[in-house]
Amino acid sequence: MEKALVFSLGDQEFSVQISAVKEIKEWAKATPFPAAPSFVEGVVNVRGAVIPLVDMAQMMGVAEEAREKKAIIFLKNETKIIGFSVTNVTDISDVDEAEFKSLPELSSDNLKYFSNGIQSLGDRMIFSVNVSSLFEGSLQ
Amino acid sequence: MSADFTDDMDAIRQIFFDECDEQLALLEEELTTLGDEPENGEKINTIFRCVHSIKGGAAAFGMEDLVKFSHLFESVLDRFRSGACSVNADSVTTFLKCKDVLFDIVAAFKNGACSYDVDPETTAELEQYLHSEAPVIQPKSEDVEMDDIFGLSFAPVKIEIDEPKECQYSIVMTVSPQLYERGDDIRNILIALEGMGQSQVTVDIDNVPVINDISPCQSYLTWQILLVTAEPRANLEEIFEWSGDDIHAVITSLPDHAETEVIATPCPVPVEEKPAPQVKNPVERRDSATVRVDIRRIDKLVDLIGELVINQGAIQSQMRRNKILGDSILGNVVTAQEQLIHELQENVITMRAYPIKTVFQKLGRVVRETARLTGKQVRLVLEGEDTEVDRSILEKLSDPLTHMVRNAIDHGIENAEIRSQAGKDQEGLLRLRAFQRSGRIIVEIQDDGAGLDPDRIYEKAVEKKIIEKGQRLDREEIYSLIFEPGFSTVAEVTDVSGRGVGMDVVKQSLQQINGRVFIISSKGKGTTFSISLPFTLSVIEGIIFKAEGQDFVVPVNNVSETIIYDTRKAFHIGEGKYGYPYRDGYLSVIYAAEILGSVPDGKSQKICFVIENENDEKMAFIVDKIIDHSRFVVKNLEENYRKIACFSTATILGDGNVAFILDVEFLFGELLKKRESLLEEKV
Repeated sequence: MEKALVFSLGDQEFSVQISAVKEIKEWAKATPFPAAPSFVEGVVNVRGAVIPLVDMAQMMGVAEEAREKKAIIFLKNETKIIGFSVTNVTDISDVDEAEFKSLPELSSDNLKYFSNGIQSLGDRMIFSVNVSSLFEGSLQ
Repeated sequence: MSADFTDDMDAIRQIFFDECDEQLALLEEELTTLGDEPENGEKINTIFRCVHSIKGGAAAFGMEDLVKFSHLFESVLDRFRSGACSVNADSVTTFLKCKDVLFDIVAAFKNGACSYDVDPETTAELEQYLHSEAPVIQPKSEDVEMDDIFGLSFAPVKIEIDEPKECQYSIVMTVSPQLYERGDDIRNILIALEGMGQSQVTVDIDNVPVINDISPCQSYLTWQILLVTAEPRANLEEIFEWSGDDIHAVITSLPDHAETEVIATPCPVPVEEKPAPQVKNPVERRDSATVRVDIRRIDKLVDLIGELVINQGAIQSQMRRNKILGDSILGNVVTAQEQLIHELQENVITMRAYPIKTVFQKLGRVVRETARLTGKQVRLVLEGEDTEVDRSILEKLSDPLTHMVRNAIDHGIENAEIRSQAGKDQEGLLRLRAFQRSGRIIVEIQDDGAGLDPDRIYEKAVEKKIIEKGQRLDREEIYSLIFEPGFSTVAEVTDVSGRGVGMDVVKQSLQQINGRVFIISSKGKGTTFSISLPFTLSVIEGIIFKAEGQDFVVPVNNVSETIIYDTRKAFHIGEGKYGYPYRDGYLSVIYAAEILGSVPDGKSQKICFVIENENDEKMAFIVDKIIDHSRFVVKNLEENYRKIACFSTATILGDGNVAFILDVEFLFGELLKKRESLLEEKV
């Protein structure tokens, strides 16, 4: 069974497959650059590598007042590593993709694009994040 | 960075392909010089061995088409080797063609193909050598030899390390009678020693008493053995260990070529160490030993040293903050450390350097093909092939050079008829030259063709609306017009170079590796394109400055001067546009604040960098404050992100923060935009 890292953006929970997670760090301010897309906070230095930092809450369309950032999750897709700021890292859960429920029809386009489906864990509801589309969106 | 090969076979295949590349390069090298010394049997032998190695490896990996072709090639070479055929210009051409075919087959297999159809013409051309004249020696059997199939003749990993040094030992050995009682024999020891190297055994009979006193169960003999072996001493001792205490042996290492009498000394006390400088050690004859290392490991090393440099910066900035002086003990240690790291960095960067030969040799083929397509006769001369260039630069050098070589043959060198009319040798000369000059690598492409015609270039540029008629340009400016997009002086598109890819692409790709091109040309005599390249892309010297509260770096080689900016001297020259006096002229102004998306407040701007690009255009770039001048490790932004405007790369500062490195070309682009908006306003 695959494992997933569960994290929160505001009061919503999301998960990402653990195999894509490279590192988790405390949130720190990134070096901004001009003409960056609004969801890119800038770049950060992780042991000598220059890595972009993306505001995931903004990409997922989480309400602005709830976008508290406390941690950065560094994810790897193919050769690139991108850092994503999140509110909190909660726990690690078992996932079975077959049990994912599809998103409600009225979900935002971004949410539909970046998520594989919803996983129910007791009364918790976790959006599973599709890493490759997340990267595609971040690199635009 | 580290790629783990999940499949061992893949790794071995990769080694085979690397080996093939090496063999092909050697083949090219030998073949191009074969014509000069056709009688040199050693050359044919080397060529034969190259082809043979490729065949052996190919057989081990079941690459049938490669085996088949290399076998045929090899059989033909064998006839040359045995003297049944002799080398002439035609056969060299054929060989070169075959080498190109081999190259293609290897490339095809490398890219995952399972088969490759060889052009039957080439095969036929080869086969005719097999049947020409009376065969003196039986052609080789069509079957691949067994040892090839098992890849025995193919050495998959080429690691040359120092061969164990041969040492001389003196062994003095006496035997207790128990040895014989156990049925052992001193001969076994001698045979074992014999197997380790060259030995010279002397039996000392001095201790043998007169016949009356001899006890038949005693051993009176002493053996003195002089052994020359490459085996380590431990192996030597092991032989004696077998016999325990029954053999008493004293082993002494001798310096090379110690006198033989020394060995005869009954008790071998360590001999006086007499150095023998006139004797050449066999190890010394090797010119240089090499180790093959995965490039990614070296890249990793370069990265790690980069981090070391960053840490060093952190220590120094911390020292400054705590007001620790540079001439304190700590300060001196840190300075010495900085020097060491700097040296370490330079050394590791040279490890990643490759001789430019690898690129030049590929061009040999381009020259042959282009010459064939254009029907021109071209002789290629390579110089300075051993000049080393960083791998990252070398990779990006191949394409522009290919294009420039094609151009030189297609547009530069005239055909034989015109050449003889002009009193030149019918055969055109193309010279590729590489050398180092003041920390940069210079690559020259020189032809002895028609040369550039400034008038024709000017006309063409007017026609193509690149310049306006009547615009005054000096000779260099006219030459550089050929790098403008959409410029081509040849009316009809030729097969060779006129593929819509112009010299502008060449210039662009050279710019990516911080390369600059200069043209020297003389009508009727030829043209030289001179490319100047940095030695490495991983470190730059730069000035770190502050603007809008953020740190940035500008490469030092783009800054021609730094002056104090005086707001009062700046004058308004249009909507949001300013000029600034500089020497006896005026420069356009770009504020760092502008490109960062804010408006300069007119107060914090204190420093003016006079920025210069390769076309000697200048501008005033205004920033807030200069912080330091230092060397910076260049980090590619595309590795984890993508290209961004204004900054092509970034670096990491002593405090761990990222600072962007200014892309000067971008600044000039901004300047151009401003100029265009000015034009629009006029309209």
